Amino acid sequence: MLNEFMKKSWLALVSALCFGLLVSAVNMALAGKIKQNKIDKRDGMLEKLFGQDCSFEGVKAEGAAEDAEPIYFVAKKGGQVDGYALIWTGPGFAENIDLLVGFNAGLDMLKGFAVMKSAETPGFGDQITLEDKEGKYRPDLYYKDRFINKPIDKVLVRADDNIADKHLKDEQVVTISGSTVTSEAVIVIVNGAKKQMVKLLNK
Amino acid sequence: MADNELKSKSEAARHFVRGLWAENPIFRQLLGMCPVLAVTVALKPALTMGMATMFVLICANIVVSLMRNIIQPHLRILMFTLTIATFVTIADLILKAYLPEMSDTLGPFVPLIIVNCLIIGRAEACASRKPVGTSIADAFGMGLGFTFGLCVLATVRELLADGKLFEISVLPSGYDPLLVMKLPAGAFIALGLLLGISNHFFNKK
Repeated sequence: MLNEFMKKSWLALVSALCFGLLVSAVNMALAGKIKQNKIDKRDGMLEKLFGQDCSFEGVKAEGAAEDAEPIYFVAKKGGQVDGYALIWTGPGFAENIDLLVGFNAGLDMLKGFAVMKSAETPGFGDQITLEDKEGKYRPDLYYKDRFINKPIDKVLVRADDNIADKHLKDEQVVTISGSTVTSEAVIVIVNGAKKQMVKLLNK
Repeated sequence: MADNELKSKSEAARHFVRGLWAENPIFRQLLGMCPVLAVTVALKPALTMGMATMFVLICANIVVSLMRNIIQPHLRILMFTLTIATFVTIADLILKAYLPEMSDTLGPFVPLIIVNCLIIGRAEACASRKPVGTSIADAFGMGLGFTFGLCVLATVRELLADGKLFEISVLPSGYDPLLVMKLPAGAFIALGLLLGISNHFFNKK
């Protein structure tokens, strides 16, 4: 029976072994570069949130392994703490959205967010990634800017449609027309990140 | 001997040319429609997807062709899938390492090359019956034809949706973008129109 099995499936077994070794070798060769790409992307986004003159320190969970990912980041400018950031995930319209959410040093206001990963609808939901090319603050145009300096002690909520800017409360965020689900998903993720950050720093 | 060599070369050339137009995977065979509709929002991802698919197609065709005399019929599909999955994983890792932004843009559509019926179709129709040279020529032709189809569709969509090509503005600043071309509906409309045009030319012949 074993002979029959080997006779009929030796090619599949040998191929599986060879292909497995080939994929492992490629993975071993490229794993370092892939990991570095992820770190570079994250660091680039931290710099966008806090400025290029800041340095960043990753804080790992207590008792975490040496190669574990940090649970949050501390931004420092001239040796002083300038703010905090953490990556928080939640469901979007298409799939999960990963945001890097930044907070000021006093932990009372948001610095804003950067999109680490999203697959939202092009032209609609993907407007959450847009920002001014010269770094100008334009909350009228860019959704990201509507979160800057929002209070941490209040839960962010969606503003009523057509609300005038002068009637907008601190905790209200004007959503993107045509992509309410994505806009609300971002609000939920940012609220989750705020809660987690406060929890982590109050420990 | 020389006759055989000549015959084999002309067969390889015939296979190569067929994939480019007469049997173009997108416009003539309607294969691999999932990436065709999903990644043609812009030229860059379309070109990257085309190159990744061509890499997998060539590697899979080489391996299947080399194994064609020892593959037992009951293992055929299993061996094709195993081979394709291996090279798709390698392509995915290479993109993640050297083109990380494009890898993020393409998202799950790179691993989904595994189920692209163009690749398994060529393994079955050509590589499992023909020598390596012909299989490589076939993979090149089909790969280039697939990439060409993706790029034509992406050109139409990016141009109409953003007035850009390769993210560079080419239409006047007053151009009013057709946002629908970025959406799945736009992909179907553009593909339908291009299929109509290609059919028109084929029927003329």
